[in-house]
This record gives sequence, structure tokens and C-alpha cells, in this order.
Amino acid sequence: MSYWDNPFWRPDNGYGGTNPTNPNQRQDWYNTPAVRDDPDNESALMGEWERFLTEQGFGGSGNRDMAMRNMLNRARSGFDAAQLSNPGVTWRKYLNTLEGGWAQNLAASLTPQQRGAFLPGQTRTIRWG
Amino acid sequence: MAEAVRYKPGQARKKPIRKPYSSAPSYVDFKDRQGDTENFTVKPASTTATTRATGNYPSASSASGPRASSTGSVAGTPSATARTEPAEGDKWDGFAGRYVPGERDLLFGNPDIIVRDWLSQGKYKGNDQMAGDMSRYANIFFGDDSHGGLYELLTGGSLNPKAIGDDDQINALVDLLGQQSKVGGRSPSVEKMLSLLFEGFSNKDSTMGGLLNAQGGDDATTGQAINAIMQYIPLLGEFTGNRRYSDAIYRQAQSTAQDYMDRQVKGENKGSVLDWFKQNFM
Repeated sequence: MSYWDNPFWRPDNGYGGTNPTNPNQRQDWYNTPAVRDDPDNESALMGEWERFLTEQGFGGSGNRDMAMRNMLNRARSGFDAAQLSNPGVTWRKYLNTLEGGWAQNLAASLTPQQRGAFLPGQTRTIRWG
Repeated sequence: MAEAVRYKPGQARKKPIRKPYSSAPSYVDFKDRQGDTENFTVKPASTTATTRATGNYPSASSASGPRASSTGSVAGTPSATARTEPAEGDKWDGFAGRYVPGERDLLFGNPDIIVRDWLSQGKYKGNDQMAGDMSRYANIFFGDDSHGGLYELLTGGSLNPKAIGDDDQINALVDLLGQQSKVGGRSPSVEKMLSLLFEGFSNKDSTMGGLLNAQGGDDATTGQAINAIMQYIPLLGEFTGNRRYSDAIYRQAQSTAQDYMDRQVKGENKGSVLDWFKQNFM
């Protein structure tokens, strides 16, 4: 599972971001207050999740990647629970509190069906229609 | 752009993990800006001593509102400083120098113009997406008759017409836009903004302090005082990155004000609304 398996977002791309007053200077705005501290940023939910998964090595489309991707609801409810302790925690900061290995541990605890894996018995015969 | 860091499955993220949920946001700091030696500064009134002929001019609409423009006087209260109309040929300083002082009200009513001009330095002209994103600061910066402005709050209410010109406000907005667009930049914290709010309202010579002295003394009615404070409360959450948090702050302020009023009608209050907020809000 590579960091670069995500075809939909490349960390090194920058996507044409430049300094607002100097168009010749490239700038990734991710860590600017304008993006980070905007409470109304509609891209924050899925955007932070996409970046987080990719940086954890789950940006691809394998079974484990997709299983982790399906954890969004759990992550959101975990975030909500965290917010009950500290209303000031943001989605980005909450994700940063998830310790390394969380996804691996979680994946290991899932059954193959939960991970979306095809069992051998299922793959031998494929019925069409 | 920072070099991308490659993480392997199971590897801890390079970024140190913060102690979770233990405190209010700690990454924001008003002055200490990581990787940036330039502090976030908004020029307070005390740093400019000259009266500007190109200062603040009340708009026709603001003259009838509770706040006469952004000048620190309140409708019905004689202004300590006679306002001066812009003289022919007057010019503003800095970034504001590109605007005509006589069109102050039009400009302050449409601060998007400033954002677009600022972005056009980077040839962003016509980029509605980015202009729209950055306008969120501009739209709350100057305030209006019913809403306190971010500029007033960040200067602790030092919007004294004797000392602060409109060009100072415009240039401060441009500074803010620049700071907010810097990688690794920091925003004023809720705690810092709250202390500035109390500082502003405690200073009777400031714009915000003047709101609590609407009748020319310390006799603003309870309702007036609460309204004055509440108009700044929503600004506290503008840099939290969390609308739910800012909403919670506002609800807490409403609850605090309600408690004061409940006690007021029973004759139980011994201090002012401001004192009550200082002791009981957040």
C-alpha cells in the first residue's frame, strides 16, 4: 500500500496553489489560517479525511483501503464524542490524535466480510445474471 | 511547498500527537507566529497620534443607528471630536492610497473591493472562488451599525476617530489577509480575543467602552450594555475552525446575559454587566 496509490489526491501536487500576491511562488494553502481556521470550509470534512487516509497509507482502492474509508462514520462519531469533552477541537486536530497503527489494528479486528474481501468459496463460481 | 512525508502502514505520523481534548485550542496565538517573525499586529489608537482630515465620516444610515459609523460615538451623544469632511486632494496612506477618501462609505460597505484588489496583485483578478473565501474576513472587519467589527475587537476598541483613520483600518485588513494566507500562520485565539473584548469595554475612551456609556455616563441600560457586548461575541469564533464551537460560545454568552437579567430584575446584581461577563463567561 503505497502513499502514492491515491489517484485522486497527490500530496506533492499543490494543484496550482500560489501565493496570493506573488503568482510565481507556489503555495499549498493547507496550513494557512485561511483554510485551517475557517469554520465554514465545506471541503473540510471529506478533504481532511482523504488527506488523512492517504498519509496513513490507505489512499488506494484495496480491500483494506476501502474498509478504512468506510470508517468515516465511526470517525465522525468519535469526533463528536471528543467535542463533548472539548468543543474547541477541530476535525483536523481530532484526526491527528488518532495514533499510528490505529488503522492496522482496526483492520486486523475486522472479519474478511467486513473488510470486503472475497473468500475463496465465493470466488470460485461467479454467476452472471 | 514542504516535502511530502511518506508514511508506511503502522508508522506513527511524524507530527507529534497532541494531548487530546485537554484544553481549548492551543495552536492559535496572537503574537507568537511559528516560522514568521512578523507579529500579527493591528495598529492601536495609541500608536497614531495625529488627527486625520481624511478620517471617519458618518454615513447617512449610520447616523440614525445605535452606533454612528465606526467612530466611537453613539447616536444621540455629542461626539467629542468634530468630524471633518475630506478636503479636496486628500489621500490615504499605504494600500489604501489607491482609494478616494470621499468614497469611504461605499468602500466600507463593499469590502470585497479591497479583497479583489489585494488578490489582483497576484493576478487573481476575476477569481471569484478565492475572493469569496477571503471576503469572510473583510465582511466582518469594519462592522456596521448593528455589528461590531473585527478591527475594533482586535485593537481592544481603539477605534478613536482622533487617532485612527479609515486608511489604517483598510491597511489593517490587508495585513490580516496577508497573515491569514501565510503557510503556518496563526490566528488570534479565543482567549486573546476575549481579553481584548474586556479590555475594549473597560476603556471608557474607546469605541467599545463608549457603547456602555451611551447616555454620557456609566448609565447605559442593562439592555444596551448586553446588546453592545453581544454584537462582538460572534467574532470570537471566527478563527476557531469549528462552527460548533463558535455557536457554543454564543449560546454561553446568551446564557450569561440571561442570568444577569434574571438577577437584575430581582435586585441581586452588585456589579455591571461587564463585570458579570468577566466573572461568569467562559
